[in-house]
Amino acid sequence: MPEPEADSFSHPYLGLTPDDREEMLRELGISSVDELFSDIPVKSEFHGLPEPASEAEVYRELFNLSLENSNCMEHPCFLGGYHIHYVPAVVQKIAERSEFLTSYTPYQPEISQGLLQALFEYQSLMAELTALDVVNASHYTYGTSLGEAAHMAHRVTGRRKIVVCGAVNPERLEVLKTYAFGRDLSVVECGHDGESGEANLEEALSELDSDTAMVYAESPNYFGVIEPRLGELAEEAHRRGSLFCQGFDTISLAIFRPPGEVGADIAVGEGVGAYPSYGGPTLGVFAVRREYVRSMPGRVVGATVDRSGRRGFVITLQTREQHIRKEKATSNITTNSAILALQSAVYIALMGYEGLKRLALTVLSNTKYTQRRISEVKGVVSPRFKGFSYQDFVVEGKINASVFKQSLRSRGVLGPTQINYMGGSGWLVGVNELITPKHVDLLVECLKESVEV
Amino acid sequence: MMRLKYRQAVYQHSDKVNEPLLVELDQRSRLPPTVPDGLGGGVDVPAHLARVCSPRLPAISELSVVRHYVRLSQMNFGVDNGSYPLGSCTMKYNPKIDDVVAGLHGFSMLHPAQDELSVQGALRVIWELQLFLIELTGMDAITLQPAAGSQGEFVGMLVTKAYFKESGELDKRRKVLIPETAHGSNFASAAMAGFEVVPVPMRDGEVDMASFRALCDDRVAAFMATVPNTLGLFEQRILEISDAVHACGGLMYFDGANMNALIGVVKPAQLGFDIAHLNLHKTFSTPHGGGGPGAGPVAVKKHLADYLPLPRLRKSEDGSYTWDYASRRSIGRVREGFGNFGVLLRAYTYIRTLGLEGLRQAARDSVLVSNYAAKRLSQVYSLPFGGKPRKHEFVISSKPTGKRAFDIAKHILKWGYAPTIYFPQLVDEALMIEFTESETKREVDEYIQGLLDAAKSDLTSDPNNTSVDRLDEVRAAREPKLTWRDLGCVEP
Repeated sequence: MPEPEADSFSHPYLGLTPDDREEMLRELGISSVDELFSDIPVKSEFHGLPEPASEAEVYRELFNLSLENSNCMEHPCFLGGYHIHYVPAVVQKIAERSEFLTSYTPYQPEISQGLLQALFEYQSLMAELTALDVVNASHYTYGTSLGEAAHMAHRVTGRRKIVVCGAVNPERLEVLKTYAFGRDLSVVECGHDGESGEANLEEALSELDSDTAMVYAESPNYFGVIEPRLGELAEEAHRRGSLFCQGFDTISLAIFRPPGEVGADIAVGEGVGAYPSYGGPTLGVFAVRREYVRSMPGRVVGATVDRSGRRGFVITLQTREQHIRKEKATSNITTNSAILALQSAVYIALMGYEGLKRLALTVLSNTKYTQRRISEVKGVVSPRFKGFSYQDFVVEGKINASVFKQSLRSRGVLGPTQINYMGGSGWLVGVNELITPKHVDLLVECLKESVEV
Repeated sequence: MMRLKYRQAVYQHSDKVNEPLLVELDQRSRLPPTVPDGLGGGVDVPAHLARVCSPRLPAISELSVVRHYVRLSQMNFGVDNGSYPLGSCTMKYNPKIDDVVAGLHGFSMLHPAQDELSVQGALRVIWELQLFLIELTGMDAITLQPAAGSQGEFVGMLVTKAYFKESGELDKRRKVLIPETAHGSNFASAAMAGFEVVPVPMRDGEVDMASFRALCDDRVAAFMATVPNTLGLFEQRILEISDAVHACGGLMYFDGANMNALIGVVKPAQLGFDIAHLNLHKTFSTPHGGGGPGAGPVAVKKHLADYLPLPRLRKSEDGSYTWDYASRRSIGRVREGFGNFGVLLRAYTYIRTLGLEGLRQAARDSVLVSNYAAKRLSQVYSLPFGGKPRKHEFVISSKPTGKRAFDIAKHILKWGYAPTIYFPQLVDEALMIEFTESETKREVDEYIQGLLDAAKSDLTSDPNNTSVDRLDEVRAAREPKLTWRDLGCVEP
């Protein structure tokens, strides 16, 4: 194909017509756009990139490609570790509003009050749920919030050791270690009690020393177990001048003790009100006690007044941020997960406290129901860990992994996944409010087929 | 010329309050929405695990929630409302087909822990996008994991750190050289990776070669540059710089936030860069969402491929895709999952619809329009480092007009225009303008006229067409009120 004539290309996404380009060149007194690139010493050639295609062609192809995937709404899903809930139609529709979706970070606040107020409300709602004072306007993920928490604790205490207690989601632990590598921090892992699945507090306490910047635990933990002794852990951490950080599940905060009630200095978690989209985009919640607000990473929205005394909102405490403080900033974060913060806020506003409580109790009920049903399968221990569990739990038994996976696949069941832990391995089962008895029947059948007697 | 005037919605609740806060809309006795009943009947939460204090969350009817947010949306401004030439941010049109594709249930409802066999369609999109971006940067390997440009920078710096750790040089190579004209995040990212940041002074808007040479030695881990830089200028001596850095044994890092000027024109690898990140929410048109999400893939040359985050996607001989978790050298994960897949899908769709030809034309148009506007505005404003062609954006100063950039910015809000101001800090009273290729000539001409008029107008009472008047930002920082509890909207 011959090279098309330069700058004759027209496309619905491009604002200029060939005539406009001519006119602009005339104003500039040059004959070709090439002259504007004369300062670039190299001209590259490109291969293997697509030709322009019509919207219709691209849509049809991608629509068909999407059908090659098995989605977790169509199929029974028992995957754990990352939690899916139904997203009310209102949340989706509001998040699609162009005025929000196509806006930028609200640096000119007067014209961006809508988003600023929505973020302020997100901060307020999450502060209520976590029982902490301040929530920033979001991070990328639960895990990157955790990584930033470690950096913050190092900044506040000047110390370098992060103590991780009990069963923590392994992907999140990896993220923490990657962030720790950046600031040359060390991560020490303390185990769980083999019977209950709860953090082994004695082991954790023996690791606390004068170089400990932060102690971290998750509740619910990786095994779905609610950690019962976080208050003690927080107290011991404080006694040694360390910060305590708790990881949480947002919806479960409606029924379980929130980070603020156990004495956490920092809390990290995941947003709500969005479908998983293969794991991203998502939202990392980041909450702190008031005394740490100026060491906190990330953007934050504050209330103020306009010239006539009317309430308004602005991005504030910006002197912590990279565009002003450069290498002394509390983080490099710029783009965050603003639209997901809005989605989380709409979701929580729709549900209210009562709605979240009911939902959490349904998830709890479904957890116990599924555990019980699986425990009826001979040769399977369910739940493997006896601590009080929510949403996720582990089952163990003589399960032939390849037979089990094949059996799940043939019935169109997604998950559970095989996991390893101190002293054994098992299967991580996750439930939500969308499962039905029929789904659980299928899971039980698959297990029955796979148990080696 | 036709001139659009913009007046933003105001829903005034009282003299002091526009749209109320959610908590002020509380309808206390209202019952919550229904959720499915639990399958196992009621379960009690043991007292020692149960929440003690109730959170103060409002109970609101569904319609009231919808109205609240629709009203808030009308108090906001995005690319779909009007031109948004926010320098450094590449606020181009976000094609609607990209959102539709990302919302297909076969993509949006995939759980990250699913078996690879059940997500082959998704993995193919990721694979092909990787190939496109590798070709556009000229690199050899890529990770799509980073959630934003800044996280991409952090990954690039960690890759640098791991590379020198392995070669045993990390104790010596502590410095990262960063031109003054780079984004602030470059400095912050290098510091987050534990490096010592050394700014390189500029001369005529580009790297000062004498200072650079004095700083470039065997203690340099990397040279980290924003190209084109924050003044919208291309570093003309970039090949000389990369030769010198390589001769010292250092690595070259390309901040691709400004890639919209260069896409389909030049490959960063051919300018001597070893690592490059791209901002898919800028160059590849995915919506900014009021500040996020984004995606910041990082591409590297062969010798750095093993250090990229895990897992990495492999294509088998039978054409199927799998995730590979094995690499001794990797810096590890930088987030859960595999990347902001919803953003990646949009960028992929964008590349497919525009093709190479369209991407290149977009770059050329963004540069053309930027030079055209810079020239016209330089009649009244000053254009620092004149005489050099701009790339996709330019910076002017309002100093010759006797007006502050801040006041001009507030004034032009009356047409909905929100420029970047006081950035970069290298230029006094800076206004940073980036139209992108999306705007028509008429929109551009109207904007230029608006700025020319502003230079002659009384600006003191602006803005007066937005849902609030000029806000007191100093007060917000002095006594931070960050939640409705801080505002006294709920009893303590």
